[in-house]
Amino acid sequence: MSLYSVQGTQTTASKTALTIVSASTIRPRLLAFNLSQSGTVSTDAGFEIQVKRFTAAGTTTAVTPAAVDSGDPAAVFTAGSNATVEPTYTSNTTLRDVVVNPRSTFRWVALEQRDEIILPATASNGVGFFLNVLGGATSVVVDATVME
Amino acid sequence: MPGPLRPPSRRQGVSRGGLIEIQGPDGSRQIPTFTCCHCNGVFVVPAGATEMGFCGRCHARECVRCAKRLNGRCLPFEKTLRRYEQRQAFLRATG
Repeated sequence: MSLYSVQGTQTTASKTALTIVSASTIRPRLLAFNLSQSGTVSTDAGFEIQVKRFTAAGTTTAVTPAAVDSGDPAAVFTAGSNATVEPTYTSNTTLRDVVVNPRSTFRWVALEQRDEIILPATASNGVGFFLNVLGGATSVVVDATVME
Repeated sequence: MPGPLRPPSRRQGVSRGGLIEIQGPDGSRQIPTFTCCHCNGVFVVPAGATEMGFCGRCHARECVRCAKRLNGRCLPFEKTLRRYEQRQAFLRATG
């Protein structure tokens, strides 16, 4: 069991900020995520992030998962930021739908193993952080902690 | 008349769930959440426990949608996941 940290950003509404893509040999678990924004806030209108499951990963800028323990091996799961081609989201699988004031930061953490979000051991499947509404934010930053 | 069914307390082995922490210019706020044992969705713990289901087999909290959909039956999320993985593996194998 190793912990990894991945980050994604997005500046455009209706685009995905971060994807966490599983593999056929592992079941990654999402332990925690942070939502925040960088840059000057234009208005107090909130940005909306939907955490959803997908079955095809789309096209993103590759993000190398950083091992929390530097002695851990490279991650088997992959991650991507700033999607140019959207993942294929599965309907009715929104795990969280959060509207955050751009002057605030939002953090969710699972306190026990039973409460973590589990990804299937299937290639190209995973969880995406979809920026539905940009609001007054400039650049939305998603930071996730994943265990595999 | 008995009151609404309440889920067991932490001392009875129910998971502590999760926690949302919002930090803004006006200070910070913490909100407890739970993860549904049947769909793996994350939900804010409602003020009244009546808006939340409870699975006696999983000994865990379930969301209202799953409580209505399953109507007392138990289908753990890991079982759903295993079925999905097997189906995807089968579809891949058969081209």
